[in-house]
Amino acid sequence: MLKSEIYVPVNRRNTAFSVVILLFLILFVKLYTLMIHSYEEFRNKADYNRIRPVITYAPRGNIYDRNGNILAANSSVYAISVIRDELTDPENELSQVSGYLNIPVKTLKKNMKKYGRGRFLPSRIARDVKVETLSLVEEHKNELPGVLYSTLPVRYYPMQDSIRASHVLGYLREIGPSELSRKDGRGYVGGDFIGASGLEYFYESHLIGDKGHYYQQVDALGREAGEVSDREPIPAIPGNDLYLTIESKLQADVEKTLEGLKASSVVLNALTGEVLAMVSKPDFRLSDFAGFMEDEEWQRFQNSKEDLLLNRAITGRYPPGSAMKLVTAIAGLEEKLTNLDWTVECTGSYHYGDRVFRCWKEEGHGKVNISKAVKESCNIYFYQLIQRMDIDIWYKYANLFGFGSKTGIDLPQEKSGIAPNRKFMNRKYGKRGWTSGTLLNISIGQGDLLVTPLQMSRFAAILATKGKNIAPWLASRPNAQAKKISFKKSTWDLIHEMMFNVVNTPGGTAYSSRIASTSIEFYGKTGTAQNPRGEAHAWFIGFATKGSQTISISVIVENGGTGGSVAAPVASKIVQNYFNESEAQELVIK
Amino acid sequence: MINLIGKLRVAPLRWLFLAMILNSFGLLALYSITTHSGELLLSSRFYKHLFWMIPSLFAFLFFLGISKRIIHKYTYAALSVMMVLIIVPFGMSSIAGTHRWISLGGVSFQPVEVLKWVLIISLARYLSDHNLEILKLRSVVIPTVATLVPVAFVINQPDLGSAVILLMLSFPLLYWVGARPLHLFLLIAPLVSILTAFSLITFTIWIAAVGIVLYSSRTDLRIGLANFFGNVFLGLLTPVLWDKLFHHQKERILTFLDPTRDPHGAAYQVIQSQTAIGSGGFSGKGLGNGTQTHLKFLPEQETDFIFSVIGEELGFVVVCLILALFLYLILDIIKVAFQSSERFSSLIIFGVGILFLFHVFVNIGMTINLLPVKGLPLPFISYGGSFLVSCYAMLGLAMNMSLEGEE
Repeated sequence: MLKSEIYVPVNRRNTAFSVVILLFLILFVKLYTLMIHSYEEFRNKADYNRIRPVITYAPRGNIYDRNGNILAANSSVYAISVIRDELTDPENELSQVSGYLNIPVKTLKKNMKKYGRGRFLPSRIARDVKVETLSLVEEHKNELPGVLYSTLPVRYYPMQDSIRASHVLGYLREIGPSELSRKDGRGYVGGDFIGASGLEYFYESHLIGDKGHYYQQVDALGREAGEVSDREPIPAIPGNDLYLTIESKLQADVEKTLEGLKASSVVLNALTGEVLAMVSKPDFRLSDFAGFMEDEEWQRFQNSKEDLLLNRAITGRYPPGSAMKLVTAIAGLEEKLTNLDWTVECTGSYHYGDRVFRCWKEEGHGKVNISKAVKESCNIYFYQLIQRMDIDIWYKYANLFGFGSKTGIDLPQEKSGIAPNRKFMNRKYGKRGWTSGTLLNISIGQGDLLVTPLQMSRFAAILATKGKNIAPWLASRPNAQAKKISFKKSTWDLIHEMMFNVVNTPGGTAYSSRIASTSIEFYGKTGTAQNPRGEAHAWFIGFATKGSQTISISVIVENGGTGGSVAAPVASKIVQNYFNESEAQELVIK
Repeated sequence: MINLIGKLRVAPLRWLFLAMILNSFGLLALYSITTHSGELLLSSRFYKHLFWMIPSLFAFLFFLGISKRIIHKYTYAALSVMMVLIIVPFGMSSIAGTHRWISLGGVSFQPVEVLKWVLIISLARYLSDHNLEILKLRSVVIPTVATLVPVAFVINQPDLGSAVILLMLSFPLLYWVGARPLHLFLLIAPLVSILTAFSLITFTIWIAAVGIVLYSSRTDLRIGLANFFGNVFLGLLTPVLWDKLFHHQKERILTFLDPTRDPHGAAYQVIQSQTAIGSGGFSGKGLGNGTQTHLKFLPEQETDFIFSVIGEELGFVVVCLILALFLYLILDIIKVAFQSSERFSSLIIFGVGILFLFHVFVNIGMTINLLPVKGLPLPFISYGGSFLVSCYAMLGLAMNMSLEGEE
């Protein structure tokens, strides 16, 4: 048995040696490739495995008024998160936290799912947690393993009690899934708040800033495992600040004056286009939107009968009523279709075809020329004047003043309103469906005509500056040069004179709203716009000068009644308050 | 005892030193893995592995000291016992879903580790007992077929790595002892026929090659034809049988053959292992600083993937050193086998060398994504009691066999 011998030839041994060496060579080459040649690649892979960037949130830029007062700033709120894997008794712990937060367990679980990023990462279950609540959680820390808190930057409005400016500033909303995918790659993450209206929306990219990162080491299960010392954190870059043209005191005053009404008012620096105040009532508290909002609450806001979220100043489209007679008057004067000598007999009503058109004054104004017609707002005069022109002429002037197109203000969702021209009328009524009779309504600012309060204030500003057409703006001055509207000097002078008389001479529709102070010159025109939804809208547009300052103003009170009795006093009060407040200080021209 | 001391004087003790150096690299890696924030528990695998060196050295001395004659005499009895032990785990509750371990009083061991070298001895005995018939096909077929029985059980444990090793052991031994290459070719041919059956072109080329080899070897006509048509038939049958399988059965077989098909299991492991080794670079991240290891991205780091730990923490230099140590050990074992004049001894020494080679190549190959097979530990380095004891036992056995003219 053991005696059996073996003779292994040398070549067989050498073959065995060769195979062994070959196999080791294969291992060596592959190891060399991995460890030396592709070292960088695998080093990065290993780092990618272990290093998780953690977001540091950038505070949104502040929003200041023209004098440097902060309208919107940032504060921190506390958020409570849970790490699912570290909850020892999820049901009990959640119900305990639910008790402290006063949020149903169901909601907490829903949030846990919504913001969940894995079993081992914190998922936010509540934000905007009060400090008192937080201290409760902190006290019971030992009973709540896996529950932790962090801070988030959030908007806060330091002057909110006196100035809301809700529509101008705009609110934030938590970013939705569709927006998130649309804005993919721009640094947004779920749970972020994004400008949803007003300036916050318009200047979103300016205000948002850049998120930063710091690096955390994690293990294979995604749990935190110590510091990363070899990588510098990338600091968050705060968003840019925004400086507005808003004059806070004026804004506050206008808001107070219009409180309780459905109304809007826009005050412009007529020389520069700066928006000094823009108010839309009713409004809302922006701070209500700063935190997380339940869907039901959001629905309540959105479906409110009073259109709380609607910025009436730029999206409200109203018939302008008699305020628009100024356009008809200017068209008549410029086209030499009327002058101070041309008169009309107003008997209170006017027969046109088989229809009767009425003046607001049933007994009639008697013999009126253009001056009296504007001052007392006689309809009959304009019915007759408009028949001396056609729609093309009238539209030319309406268009010059920017009616029917957007002002281009730096706010979203501005409406252009409607200034009807021939094309519009043909489309709406058919080529033979309308006659020059339809023009009668347009001549007094009724019919198809629709304007926004901002357009009306800008119109007043153009009149105030005798043709300087400046686009209104809130935060960034428009690039385009102001277009100069050149009319005859006599036209401008007469318009000024007539608007002065509306306010300052007995019989003027706004005479009761005149300003006693001799240093303030107050010009205007009232309007009482019939509309299908009840009581007429009360309008007043005008401008006022004091020293070197000129401001324009538009006021509308929805279903408020007549312009003279409702809108004009409001405008008068605003103007007086503004000039009295800024008695000593001249407007800082930006 | 006198005998053992006498043997120690002349035995190639360098093998033991090599083994202990490799062993200490294993301990180093385990020390790094099991030390947590500066604390090393007595119950840690580092100490366990250290403890296992005691029975290992006893096993080494035992198989060094035991008489060759006794080994030869009880070979088949030992094989029978091991066959039974392989089956025993199927009667016990599974550990980690497998039937690899036998647990006795808190100590568990894998009979397959012992079976490997018992099989080597058995093959050696068979081949030395039938020394005159080695040129016949029969003496090649019988040991191979006999190997298939334990392989069938090991596959079902399931332990594909060990099964492949068992299956492959007979070929190098047959080659070493001088079997005709044609016979080895004919043994492997059916397997190749099955694998090539899925592509008509490769199958045609393969069958043509079989024909040419058979024709040019001037083998017996009947045997030649039987082999040829046997392979053709197998190749034609395979796709038919394959199509009869259900999708999930096919998947199971494919995943079994290529574990990386399961992206959450083996593919993940291999990727993390490659990443660990590659990120080690030239000099490694330093002991205890391996992020792949310590943040648990690397799976099975104490056993199957311990080489990746060394690669990550100690780097290319140490990896090359370990390769060099293994290479020297294996070449030296083969050299000694070559020098041995006894057929039984030479086959055992050679078989042990080949067994080490298989383990080293398959294990390291797996950690660097060269080979799909998983589940083979790295000799002297991987954690695992029965394997460590087995390795030292084999080393003692090979050293014992290297000593001439004792009886």
